[in-house]
Amino acid sequence: MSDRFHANRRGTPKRRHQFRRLKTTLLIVCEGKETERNYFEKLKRDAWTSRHFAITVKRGKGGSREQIAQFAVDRKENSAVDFDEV
Amino acid sequence: MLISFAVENFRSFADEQVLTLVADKDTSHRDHVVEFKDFGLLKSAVLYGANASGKSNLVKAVGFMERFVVTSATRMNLGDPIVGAESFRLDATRAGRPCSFEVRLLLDSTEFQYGFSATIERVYDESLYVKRGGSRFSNPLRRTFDPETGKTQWQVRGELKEAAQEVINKTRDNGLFLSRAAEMNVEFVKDLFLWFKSRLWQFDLASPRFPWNERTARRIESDPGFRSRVERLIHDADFGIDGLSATEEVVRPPEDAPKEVHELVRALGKAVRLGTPEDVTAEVGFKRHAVRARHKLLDSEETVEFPLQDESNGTRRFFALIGPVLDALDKGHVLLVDELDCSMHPLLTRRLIELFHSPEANPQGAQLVFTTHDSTLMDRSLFRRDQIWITEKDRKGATELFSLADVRGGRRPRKSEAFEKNYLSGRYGGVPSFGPALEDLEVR
Repeated sequence: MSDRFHANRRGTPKRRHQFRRLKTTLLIVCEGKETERNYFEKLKRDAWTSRHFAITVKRGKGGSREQIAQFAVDRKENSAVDFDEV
Repeated sequence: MLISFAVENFRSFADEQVLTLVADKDTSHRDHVVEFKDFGLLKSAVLYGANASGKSNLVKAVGFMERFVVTSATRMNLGDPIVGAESFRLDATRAGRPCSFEVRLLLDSTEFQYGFSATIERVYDESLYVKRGGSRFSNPLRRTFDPETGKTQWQVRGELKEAAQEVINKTRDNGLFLSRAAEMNVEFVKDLFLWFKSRLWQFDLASPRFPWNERTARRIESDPGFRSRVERLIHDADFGIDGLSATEEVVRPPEDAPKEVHELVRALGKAVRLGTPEDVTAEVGFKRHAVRARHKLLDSEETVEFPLQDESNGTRRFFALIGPVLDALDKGHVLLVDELDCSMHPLLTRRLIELFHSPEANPQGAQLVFTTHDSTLMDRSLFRRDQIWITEKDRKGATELFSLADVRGGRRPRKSEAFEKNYLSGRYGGVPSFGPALEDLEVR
């Protein structure tokens, strides 16, 4: 602890190297079951995942695959978030 | 000018986080940078982050450092707790350990690096490095407390040596060498101490306790030139105000008020005196300024005056802010403001920021560091990447602090990077990550 102050960091003031990356934004629409949504909610908050992805998890309204896909497309288009992947 | 500020183990900060105003290689907005021989310093920095991500704690950290430096010799006594030295609480190995703060400054051509660490009971470390002009860094002060032996080791070198022993003898365990040396009029520490005391301003614009009016009001009353500058700014900010006046008044309880009320006011007077002694006459009541704003009557040359309390929130906040802002611009101070946008229109906030960026309005290298939720300010026309900072909680719940310049580009070309859109989309981090209740609007 005390070494911090006494360490030699007295060079010319500099910025750090870039140490973070832009995240990929991801929209996930689930079929409306709790288990599915819970799984993605967990994934979203995982340390590694959340460093690389900004995930939005939405519950679909059920129905056929086409309907869910349509719902996802609607969400993507009517969102403040600019999604990279759906 | 402020070069950087580092904080560790304080409130939401666990590992050390550093806010730096050193400019990176970015070639945009060169007039936002004051150039020195080996590096450039930014005139402003803005902090974004989700609620509870630690933005305000950064301002609080600077505020704590400032207050402790200014008061530890003169307004504290043996055995007093170091109020505000609160460690990170979500990690048992850190709770109760010292918090630490370090500031790096350039004052005239001298660079100072000063820091300390402390718990609520005592100071652990204190250290000062100084670099004058082109010479090398010297380390005139080094203080280390060893919890095993309970002893503090002091190393004092160079110019400080002569005065040192006397200062050390009079420095309490719960006080800083710097504060005591200033109190004893030691020449060597004057510039550094006075920077904390009068060149660094820190305040929370959203605070319900809002005594900051006084700073502008006092100047208006005593300095007509200053008053007309403030009047012009307030008029041109389109608040519908044509003039201002401030008169000092003493607020005291009525003579026939119950004894308890008089006692309460006395007690309050003593409490407030710890903060701003000049605002209080402890025995009789509070001194403050009544500010009145003049408005033109419709279709007439006549005017009518309203007390400032009757004006809009935005007007009052602008009034409170503009005194310190003008002072900062005139004298090259550092201003830290929590929630700068509070109640003010984004276009007005933008102008305030531009005052600091303008070489004409800001010839002395004044710096503005502020937090906000107003993402419309996250704009290439207003800021460089290295001026925009984000706080985000990591998985331990600790605050991470980084600037957009610390983020490596993804698949998009850098040049066209739209800061606000990327931020609100979560590409940088620092936005809330909602659970199902808010994502799917399930409230039933």
